[in-house]
Amino acid sequence: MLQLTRRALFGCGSTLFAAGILGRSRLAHAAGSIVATTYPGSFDEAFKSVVGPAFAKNSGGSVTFSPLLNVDQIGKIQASRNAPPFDIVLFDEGPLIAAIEAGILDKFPADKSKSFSDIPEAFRHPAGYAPVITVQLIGIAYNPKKITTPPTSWEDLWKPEYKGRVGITGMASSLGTAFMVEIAKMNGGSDTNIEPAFDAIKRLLPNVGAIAASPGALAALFQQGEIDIAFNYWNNVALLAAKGVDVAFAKPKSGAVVVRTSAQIVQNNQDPKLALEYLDTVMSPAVQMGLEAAPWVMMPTNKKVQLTGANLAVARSVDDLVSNNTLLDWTRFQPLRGGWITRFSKEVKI
Amino acid sequence: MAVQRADSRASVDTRELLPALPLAVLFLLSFLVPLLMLIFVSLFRTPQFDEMGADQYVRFLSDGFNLQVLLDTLALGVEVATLTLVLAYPLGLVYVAAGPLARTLITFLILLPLLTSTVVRTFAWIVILGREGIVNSAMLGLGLWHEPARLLYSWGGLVIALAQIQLPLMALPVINSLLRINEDLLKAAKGLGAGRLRVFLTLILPLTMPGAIAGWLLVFAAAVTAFITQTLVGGGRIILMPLYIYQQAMGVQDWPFSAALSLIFTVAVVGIVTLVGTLSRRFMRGVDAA
Repeated sequence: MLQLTRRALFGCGSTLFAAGILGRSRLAHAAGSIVATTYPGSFDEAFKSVVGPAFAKNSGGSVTFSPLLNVDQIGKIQASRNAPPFDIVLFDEGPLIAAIEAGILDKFPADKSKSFSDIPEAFRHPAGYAPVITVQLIGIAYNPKKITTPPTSWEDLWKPEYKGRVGITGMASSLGTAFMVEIAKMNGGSDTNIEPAFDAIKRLLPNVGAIAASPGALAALFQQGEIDIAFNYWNNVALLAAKGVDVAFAKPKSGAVVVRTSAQIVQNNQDPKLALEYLDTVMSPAVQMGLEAAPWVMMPTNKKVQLTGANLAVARSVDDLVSNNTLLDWTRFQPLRGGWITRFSKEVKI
Repeated sequence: MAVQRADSRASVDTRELLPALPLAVLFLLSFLVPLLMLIFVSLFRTPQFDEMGADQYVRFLSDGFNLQVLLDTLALGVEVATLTLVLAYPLGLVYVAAGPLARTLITFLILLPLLTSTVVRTFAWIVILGREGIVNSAMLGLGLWHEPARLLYSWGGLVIALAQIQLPLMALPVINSLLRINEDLLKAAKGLGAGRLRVFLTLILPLTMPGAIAGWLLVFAAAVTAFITQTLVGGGRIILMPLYIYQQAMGVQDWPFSAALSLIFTVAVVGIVTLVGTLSRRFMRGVDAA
């Protein structure tokens, strides 16, 4: 109970602290200040070091970053629609649909945007919401010390020699959902018929050494030597490898699955002009080049940005990224996803 | 006279309660209001908040999986609390027998974990229990095991890690009770020829029962709600109520169902705490009489 109390206190404290920051930023409104969310971890570090300074320079305003998971953002905005705690939020494709349905976002004023014309069609939103700012590629992460022949396809996870060495994560994450949809398609199902994926994942269970609670935890399993092979994001793998962990990334021959991440404008935000300026900054070639460089290696979505370094191992250019990998239409299976998440927790057990 | 005294005491009480008012208001705002909102949310039939009805509770009861998650969580609490109880007595007895310097040292060692965050303590357990962790490396190095055992992401590992993390909550009340035992009683028992085991079972154990039960309840409540440790040490493999509620609220965005899950969980935990508390009070009355 002591732990509970401490956590509650911490919660209270951080809420007050956040309220303090927000209170201040509301007061500082005249000086021009907005609050934007990031994803916890490397994403947050990258945005703080690249986007923050660039935005200050471009707009003369300032931005406060608040690291949050996808779905936590929707709840926090819904709890305070008229004075939302953030002005810009970050969503993967699935949660973006939920956020649009919840009616918490404003459309993107494309005609006023400076960078919009550099963004390829596949990264623009069909209904006029803000474009994609980066993508996460899903492929096969493996330990090159233990697995000397790089895997070439998703089927490799099922190889008997990987008994007890495969890591997976549930469908509550974009990673888990995208993987399952891809596996369903591979086994005669579709993006709405997930049944074959559940059959396949049950056949995978003898190989599964660990079920991680989140994509980040799944990547950490390589660090701990718990697993040797798993589906994971390119960015997670590149960052771990840069830190000296024995992990490499293989793109399956069917192409990596691309999860598109967009920054969106929150309805009733403090300063629509600054919000647009922020999005333009994030989409601008200079900032995207900064995010693309090591150690962040975030995939750009601006056509003018050339891929460099480690990113060249997974795609030749932004156009190549779109044409030679798999994009999923999340609108087709988003309504089914809740059921899938629950079913995965129930049925996939080791 | 008696009436007057009662009156004056009542008036003093009211005034004495005034400073507690801010806390009472805070409690009302931060606990009671959210609880009522939770009840309200749980009474919607769909995540779209269309109609009201008890559907979420029917849904909980009609699927064995839900009940299993709840029972697993409560079982975890019982196992952790009981293990800490077993661990706390030897520690307490050593403390009571020790000199002043050793006592200070033991107190410091018991309190030390409380000064670090749960996350840090949990990560320490990942280092200890991992496939390439301390335990596995030692056992493999000594040739006692031929392949690494799965300790992390297992039920046993979770129980052990939680027991260590929550041990201070048990050790402190137990030591407190042990210190209150009248030494004359122990001397008398020994003088009458009772062996050590008998002294422990018939004297020490009953006399320290209030502390043990208080500690047991604290550890139980802390263990069942320990979201961080459960998730990091148990992984996505072991689904317990806190993770299940989080998943339904955040992953599935089904707020009515997760509200119902939260309420059912709260009622179950409060129910067990009340039950054990009531039983123990009855027991303690016996102790007082003796």
